[in-house]
Amino acid sequence: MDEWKQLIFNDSSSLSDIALQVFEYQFEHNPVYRRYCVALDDISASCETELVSESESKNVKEKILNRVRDDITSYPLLPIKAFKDAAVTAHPSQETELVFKSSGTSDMQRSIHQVHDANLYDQSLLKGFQHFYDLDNAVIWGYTPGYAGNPHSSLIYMIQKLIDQDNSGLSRFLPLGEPVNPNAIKEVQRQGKQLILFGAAFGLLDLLEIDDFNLPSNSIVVETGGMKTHRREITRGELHKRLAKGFGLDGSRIHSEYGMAELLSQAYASGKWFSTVPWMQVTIRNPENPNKVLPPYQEGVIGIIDLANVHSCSFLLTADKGVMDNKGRFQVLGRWNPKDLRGCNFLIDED
Amino acid sequence: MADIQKRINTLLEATQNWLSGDNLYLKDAIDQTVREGYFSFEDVNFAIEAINKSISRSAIEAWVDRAGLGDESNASQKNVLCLHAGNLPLVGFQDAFATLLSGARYTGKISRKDPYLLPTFLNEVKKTDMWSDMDVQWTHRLDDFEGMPHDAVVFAGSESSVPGVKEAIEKLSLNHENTRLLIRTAHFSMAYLDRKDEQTMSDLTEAIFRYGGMGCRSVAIVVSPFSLDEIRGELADQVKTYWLENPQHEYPSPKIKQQFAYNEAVERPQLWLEYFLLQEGGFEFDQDFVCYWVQGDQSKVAEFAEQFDKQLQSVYVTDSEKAIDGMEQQVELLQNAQQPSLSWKPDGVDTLTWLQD
Repeated sequence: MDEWKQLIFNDSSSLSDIALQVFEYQFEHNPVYRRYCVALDDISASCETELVSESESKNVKEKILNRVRDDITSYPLLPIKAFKDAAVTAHPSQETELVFKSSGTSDMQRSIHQVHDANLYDQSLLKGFQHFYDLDNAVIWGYTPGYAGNPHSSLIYMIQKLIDQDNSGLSRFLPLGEPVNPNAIKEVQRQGKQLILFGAAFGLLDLLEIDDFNLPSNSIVVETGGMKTHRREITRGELHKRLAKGFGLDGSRIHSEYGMAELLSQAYASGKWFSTVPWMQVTIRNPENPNKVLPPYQEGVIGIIDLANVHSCSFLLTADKGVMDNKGRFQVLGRWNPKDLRGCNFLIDED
Repeated sequence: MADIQKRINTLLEATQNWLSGDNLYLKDAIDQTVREGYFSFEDVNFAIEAINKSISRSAIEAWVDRAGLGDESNASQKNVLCLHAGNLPLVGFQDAFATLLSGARYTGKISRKDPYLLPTFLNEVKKTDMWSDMDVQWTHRLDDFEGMPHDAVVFAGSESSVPGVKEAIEKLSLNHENTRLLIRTAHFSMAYLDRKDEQTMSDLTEAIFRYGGMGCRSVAIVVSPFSLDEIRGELADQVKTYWLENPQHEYPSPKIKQQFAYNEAVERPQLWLEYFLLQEGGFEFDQDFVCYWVQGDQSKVAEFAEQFDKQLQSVYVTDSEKAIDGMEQQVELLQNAQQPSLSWKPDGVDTLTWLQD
């Protein structure tokens, strides 16, 4: 397992080279992904035979490898909902070290991500964070529920790990529903540290409603999404404005994190546009033909290669709507909601 | 003679003239519709034949009686705007017919996706003495009616489309402060299949595949005691026959292949039919040309009916004795899925009754 970590987080190898090896590994060991690739490659053959022979399967793998050597965007992207419907793992018969589940109510079907190498996730989240921020000088606060009560949240696990890196004793989860202690803020300032506060959209707004307080001007607030709940909805732009005003910060200090239970890497944004870590790549796909990559500034579905997912599936099509600029950065525009289908529907522009 | 009776007689006459074999206008409209690729010849013919079968004096009179329409109670003096969708051939016919039957003045926005067929019927109506140019007006551009306020507006919509339509109505001053809106939101129907004889399988095929599965009367969910695996042979044979007689007009996007591959990946039973996919469970309703199969009994039908509520148009059963708890108003025979009666109720609302209120 250590070999994968050395390979994935090694700056000297390109993402496309490592992706080839990860694909071969996952095609061999992850039955869900293999079946997906084989069926996508030849529907008629898949319909006619119950079992795909080993040689046919090998042919498909070779075909895909030949294709992706020229074009990294042509890996088959497994719809991320597979984490709800199947065990997406390259170790189907082994115990897992961690299990992450997507958020949701008890009667909702939730994604389950079996994490076979917790240390790989640790490295991914820490190296990823360090790629964007100065972790050594940071005090991490999480205004979220704590890890003990939420062992299946990849986000809370991440915040806990970031907190654990700080020896100052100042990093911690803030108690929910309580005002922030002004002395704690002063102590961060006194030690010359940078405060980085994580929280979900409405959690942070709720924190502001408890009490008025300003954060030191060099602080960063990282919102982790959740702009739409069953009760409330807010745009990212409006959220950032309210957070900046509420915490007394410049707008540029309000950042965003894009992550999910199904991914072991995160992207961060210091404005509208998210950037990825070197072992992650984002493309925007045509929703009607996800094999096709859309040009910059055209909205579509976010496709992701996340090499840190080596033990599950690294080639994924999310259910999120996004758009990319010509620098390879992307925006997340909410969930992809297909147009209203089937029924009669009078549309001003079409009818 | 009472006004209502005159309207019935006149509409019957207009419809008969419209549907008569020597109506060259209708023939031309069909030809143009097919030639320009709006719909297949088979689907257009089927839609016209379904209307033909549904219209008779007794059917109209029964509808009028049920709706309580008469000389005392009607919609005369009202201006009614019908915004017709164009996803199926002549999908707006019932709204236009009901409006005229109610005694209201009809204003129609004809769909650009079905531009030729309905106007040929409206022209036959205008040839009669009963309706003048002022009483029956239509256009393909909504802004042609700018500044004409209406007492009622009838259209089909959805969560995402309704705000835009309302905004356009306001902007073009097509309403006044008391204008009523009849908005239909149902998107699909469900079938309960408890037998698999040839006729039932043929009816099911028609209910799922007619018009490429479009329209709220098309079946998107089948609940059956049989699993998809048990029935795949019979269904595949029926579909082949159906498509030989009714070639598919529109084709699914490549995304459907991804859904097929996905089902294989998660080992979900499915039936791939080239232009259509049937799969067991996994409701998403995020693409056309997919029908969902669920093994279950009538209680499962009732459960889904509650779950899908406003999205659901009708529940089809194989015989009239079959009851679905809580769905008494929405249960219809499977064989009528694509051939509804003249007085069928979109979204469970009788248009004729609604227009009088």
